Amino acid sequence: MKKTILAIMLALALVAIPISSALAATDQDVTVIATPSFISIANLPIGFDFDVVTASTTPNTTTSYFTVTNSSTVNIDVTIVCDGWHDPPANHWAYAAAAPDTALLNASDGDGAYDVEVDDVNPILLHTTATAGDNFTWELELEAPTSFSYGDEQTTTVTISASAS
Amino acid sequence: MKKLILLLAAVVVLLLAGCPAASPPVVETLEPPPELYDKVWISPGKVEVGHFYPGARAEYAVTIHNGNDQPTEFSVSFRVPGSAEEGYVTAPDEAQDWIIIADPTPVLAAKETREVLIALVMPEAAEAPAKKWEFWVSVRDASQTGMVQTELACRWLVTMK
Repeated sequence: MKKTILAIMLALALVAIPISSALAATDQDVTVIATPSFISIANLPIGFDFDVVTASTTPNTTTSYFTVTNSSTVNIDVTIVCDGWHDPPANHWAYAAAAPDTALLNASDGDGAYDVEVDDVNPILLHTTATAGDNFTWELELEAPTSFSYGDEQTTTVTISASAS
Repeated sequence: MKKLILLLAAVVVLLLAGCPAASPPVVETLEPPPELYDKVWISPGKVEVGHFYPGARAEYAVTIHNGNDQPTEFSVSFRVPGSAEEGYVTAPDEAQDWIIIADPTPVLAAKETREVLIALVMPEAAEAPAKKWEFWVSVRDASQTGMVQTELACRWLVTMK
């Protein structure tokens, strides 16, 4: 009887020890936690036409031209980015501070300061909500080229992105 | 003696049953507010991955709701964060190769809600950008045509072992 009990205890030890040591080396230690929240924004109007622009000017949309309706259940950060000037494929401006055939956009979140330089690669923080579900307004300004070599219409796509703060 | 053997056998079974399987994601469910029915939304806003290491895998589904009145194609993609959480660094571009998106272009029927599984799979030879790093999963309504378009992002905060 003693032998049987010892054999069982040995088996128990052999079963238990390798499992506990193996656990430390597998993905069983990885934890994934998600806090329930909903992120939702909508923006209106969906565009603005600066029309014919004059060299070395800074036309703007007017303050609070755009409104973001925020239905998120948590505070959000809103970033802004554009994809440079395109259309037509040739004769399009470069995207940078005003220079010959070169222009960029500035933005601000409802105060008309135009203190957020919109980048054509990296999203830049435009607004952080103070409470969940806060709507806000924003506006755009064009730093027009200092001179033009061609008169083709220029377009860009501006993306505003919402993420949990 | 039989009783003792049975007792020991029961202990073995209980020990084995008690050993943890692969840790499932911690899911706290929350019903969306009714006013979100007609909106495009995603959930959750943040996913936190802990004790991660090269060679490991972590999964979580981003839930997308199409509040539009017509079927809509969405674009789900990796994104380098616009800003990182305090203490975290933004993921490098190559981290894109570590992200598997089960369906990068789901088409959702009007008012449909669907989960798209996201997996973070870091190769064993890969080097983490930092102890704590962050990437985003971007969700866009691909039918947008205006000059100003919106994007919703789910933040993934990764802490290495």
